[in-house]
Amino acid sequence: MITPHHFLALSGVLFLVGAAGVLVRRNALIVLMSLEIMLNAANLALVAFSRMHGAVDGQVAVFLIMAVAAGEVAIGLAIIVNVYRLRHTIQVDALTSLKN
Amino acid sequence: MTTSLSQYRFDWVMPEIVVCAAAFLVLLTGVYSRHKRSRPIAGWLTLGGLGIAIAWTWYLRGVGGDAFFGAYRVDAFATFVKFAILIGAAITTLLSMDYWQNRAVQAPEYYALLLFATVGMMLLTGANDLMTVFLAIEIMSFSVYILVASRRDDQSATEAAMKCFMLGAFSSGVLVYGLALVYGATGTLLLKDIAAAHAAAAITEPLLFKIGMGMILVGFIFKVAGVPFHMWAPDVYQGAPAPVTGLMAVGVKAAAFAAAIRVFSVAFGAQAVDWQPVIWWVAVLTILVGNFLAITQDNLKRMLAYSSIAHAGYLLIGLTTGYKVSGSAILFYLVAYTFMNLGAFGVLTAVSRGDDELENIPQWAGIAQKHPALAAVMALCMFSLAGIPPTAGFFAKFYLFYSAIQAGDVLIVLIAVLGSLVSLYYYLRVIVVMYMQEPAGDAVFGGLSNPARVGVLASVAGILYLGLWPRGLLAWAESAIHTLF
Repeated sequence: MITPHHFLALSGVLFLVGAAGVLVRRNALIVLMSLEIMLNAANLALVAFSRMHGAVDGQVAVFLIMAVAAGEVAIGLAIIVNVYRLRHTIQVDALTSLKN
Repeated sequence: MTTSLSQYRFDWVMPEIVVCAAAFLVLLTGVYSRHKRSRPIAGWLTLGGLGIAIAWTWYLRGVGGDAFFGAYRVDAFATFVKFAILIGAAITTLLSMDYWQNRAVQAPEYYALLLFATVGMMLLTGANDLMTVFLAIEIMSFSVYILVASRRDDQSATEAAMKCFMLGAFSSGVLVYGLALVYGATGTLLLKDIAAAHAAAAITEPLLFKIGMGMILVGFIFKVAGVPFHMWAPDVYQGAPAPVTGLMAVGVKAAAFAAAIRVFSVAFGAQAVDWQPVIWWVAVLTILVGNFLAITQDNLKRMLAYSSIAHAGYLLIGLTTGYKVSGSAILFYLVAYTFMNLGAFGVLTAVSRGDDELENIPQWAGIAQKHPALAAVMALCMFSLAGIPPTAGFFAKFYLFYSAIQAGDVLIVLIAVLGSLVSLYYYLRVIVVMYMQEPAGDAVFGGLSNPARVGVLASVAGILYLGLWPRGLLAWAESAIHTLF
């Protein structure tokens, strides 16, 4: 029997994987993917809770978050492309020109 | 349940709709105007839209209640912050017209994004449902990411946009996961239903609820650049175009604080014993880190970034002592901060020309001889930011610290006053450089164009008016905060 706790555990692991990816990985594209994993962890939790409570509002929220995630990818990729055009690298470590 | 269109109360969100419509109109001018001469029309349309929205907000100031079945709320509190945001956006528009004219770029999409960011901020003030809070934050943040990147061929602007985007998206991820956990614990996303679930002891998983609340708090601290989540602010403030930096320091902060006050007073008011000590420590760290790191900055925008971190710390004092005592002081502070910060960024915009942004404080040596008016405005803004009477900044700090003493928290006021003393050093340093040092010789400073002159004059008027007659605004703020509880 799969209970809401199983879904919650999976979404927690997904969230930690995403957060660790953002904090540890230095390639901007991987960081962008990790950000999406974080949002999807929240989506999974919302769907599971929605089912648990027998209400649909959590699932409606998931649609909204998916739309937001799509916009986030578009803006993120545009910024990454722009960075690549100017610097020919997308390593986050290489962005160090802003210092006092 | 049958619903009719009138139950949504579209009439209460007309200011937001007007700003949105203005944004689309501005985008259209980009399609239809081929001539370079007609380009500034985007800026004037933006101002027109904001003006109509200000007038409509004024018209709606007396009404209020739940719109969209509780997901959005129009009340005096939201209206008050909306005024601050709209006025801040209008001044930013005036400064932007000057900024882009000097760089021979008049991009309509810049103004459209500015308007969309304003819509996001306005929605944030009235968001009465965690999902509305999240969507409003994203509307605001997405527009700001692109605004930061608007100097596309500039390395530092692009780098700032990348950092702004990654940390902003990360904080949104944390916020939305916290939202999901709170939903799991209470079965609702509506702020007042969350409080009701707690009051009815219907929360089956208190741990889940507390973790979710903590993550939402972390998301907000990220947005207002509180320590330890402030690292992005100096880089982003330095790299972004000066008017955008002004908007971020003023509008984004005001909107995020308004949403934080509403979420933590309406939904999590009963858990104040849990989150108030956390915010207390964050406030102390933010004040100390912001002020002490600002001392070492040579770049004016970077210095103002650390100063805005310190000001976020002062505002967090208001949250930790409770919105009932300090709420009106926070609202007053947000308005005063809008004027003094935009005044400073206005002078910065006017002085910088072309590629050389003249951001380093030593470059400002002797500017008082060449541009006495600009130097005087900058000096006034610095005095106000430092909190010296008779400026808006003095009364903002006075009311905030006084309310904290009333709440019995003398220790944090002592720390804040210590921080303010430290801040005198780096604010007065700008004045010393401007007035008491000889010009470096070949330094070429720009001057104010007409739109920027209006923007800067509005800021000066705001600083002096609130510094000389603060009672009126404070009384309004007090009546506004009472609609929250």
